[in-house]
Amino acid sequence: MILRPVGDRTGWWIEGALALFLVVFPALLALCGVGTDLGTRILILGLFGIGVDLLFGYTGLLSFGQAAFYGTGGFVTAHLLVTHVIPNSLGALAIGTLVAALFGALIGSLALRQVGLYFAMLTLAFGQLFYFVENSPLRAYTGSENGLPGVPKPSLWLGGTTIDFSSSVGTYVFVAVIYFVGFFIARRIVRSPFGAVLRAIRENPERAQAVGHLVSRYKLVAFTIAAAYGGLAGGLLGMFQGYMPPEAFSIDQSGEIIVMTVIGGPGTLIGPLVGAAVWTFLRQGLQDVDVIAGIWKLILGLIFILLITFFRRGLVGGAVSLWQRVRAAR
Amino acid sequence: MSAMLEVRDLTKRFGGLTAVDGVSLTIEAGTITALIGPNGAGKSTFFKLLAGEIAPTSGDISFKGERITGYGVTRTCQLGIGKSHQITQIFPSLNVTENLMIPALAARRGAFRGDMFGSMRRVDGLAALVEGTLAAVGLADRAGMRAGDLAYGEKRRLEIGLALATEPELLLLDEPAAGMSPSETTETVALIQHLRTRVTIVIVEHDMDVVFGLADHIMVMQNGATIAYGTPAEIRADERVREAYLGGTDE
Repeated sequence: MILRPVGDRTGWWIEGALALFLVVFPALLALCGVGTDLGTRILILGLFGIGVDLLFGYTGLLSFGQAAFYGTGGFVTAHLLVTHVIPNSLGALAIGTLVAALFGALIGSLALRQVGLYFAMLTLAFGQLFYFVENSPLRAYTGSENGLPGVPKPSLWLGGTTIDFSSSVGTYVFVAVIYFVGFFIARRIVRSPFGAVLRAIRENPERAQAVGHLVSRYKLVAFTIAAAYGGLAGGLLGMFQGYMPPEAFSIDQSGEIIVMTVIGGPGTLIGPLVGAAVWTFLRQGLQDVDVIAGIWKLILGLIFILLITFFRRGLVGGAVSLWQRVRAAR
Repeated sequence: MSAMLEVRDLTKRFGGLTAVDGVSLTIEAGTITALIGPNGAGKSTFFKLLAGEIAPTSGDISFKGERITGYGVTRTCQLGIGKSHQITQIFPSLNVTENLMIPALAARRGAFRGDMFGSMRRVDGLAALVEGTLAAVGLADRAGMRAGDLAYGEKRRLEIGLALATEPELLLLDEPAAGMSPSETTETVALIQHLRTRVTIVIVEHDMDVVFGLADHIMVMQNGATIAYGTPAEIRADERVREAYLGGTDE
């Protein structure tokens, strides 16, 4: 008997398809008359969402405070680069990610003492706490409501030469490579024995515990990994925009990433990317139409209500079951 | 002492209610012990105490000579006490094989391991354990089926399989035949007969045919306390048991 990864019947072709997509994505955007920057923004949100998906889609933990880690990773990375403490893009990203993960472990160890709604409320409270700390006590480092301007574009220092990613396409390539690596790592995690236990926790945490798994520690590690993804995405955001916005810490940001994950399809890893694309396009598109420009948020809300009502497992989940039905019919 | 499980003066109070009242019990390796008694006698609470799901108010539990009182369910399970529940507790959207992989992973990898980049193939003995359990509970032909879609009797067997795949030395079965049709009950009895060669079993069951057909020893509980303990023949002859539980009817 050959045991397959739990709950995952896909093969490694997914990675191939993703790589191909990342290569042609800028061209697809150009066909729609949209610049490459929009694609970069979608990938950053998609990367942030991978962490949310690991936490929510796989482990069943709904956190309303993920912006705390997006902001933390973003501001630590931006600060290191702006002050030239760490001039190296990857080095600053690594430290930003690490700090976000450390805060993830800390917040997780406190918030995970509760379950369900109470856990969600605690993450919400910690998210707000981080926003406040960024805005007031740490204003000297974060620029408070003005954010941190002058974040250098990504570059790669290779001993003698430095590869520059400052162009629009260059930044896209830099972000796309990191997104791909992030996706690949997340796939390894969900297909591992560790990932199987995470799924068991989502399905039935009491039973997972009763059959001998130390559920509390698995949850804490999942929370920490999600925070690291948030921190990495936040660091990329500052580099991409050349400016680190304080809104990265906002409760809106925490809420939006959950909506994107749910629309795209939780428990799929690729779902958040799809959700981020739909979100970003609709937002942009609706604002551009004169007639509805004033009420675009209302229309966006209605579209999301419809999407969530009719695609219970998100767009990716809906597409998968449609494909299965087509195959079964043949 | 070769006792597998040694329970001494176990008591559990919930507020003013004493659910389990000073119960002592010794279980030898390789035996089947049945727990019977009217509803509310404290059988399920006693089982929860044995599995570490709840902590006793007072008293002690020793497993293979180690005092395990207050260890909690995860550690108790890791030591070798597995429990199948009265109410089916499966992983509904995973398939049958995947369901059995979850306890098997706990048995083979321990309570926690950060093998985030590991693969199932590298977990020692995992496939053999899953395959063996699948065959033991007779669900090999349902291996790929979503657990939530199984028939009731099959779900109950999967429930037993989840406990079995933790590789227990002591298996606690809480009403394994509850709600089963006569033919399903017969299959379940055959399964338990088969398991007795491998594990020590404690069973709570209302079906008297099942109890008297399987058990080496029977403990009768009423109002949280033990009122009788003995072989099936002794229990059948016990006047107090007849009055309290069997209602004076002959089996």
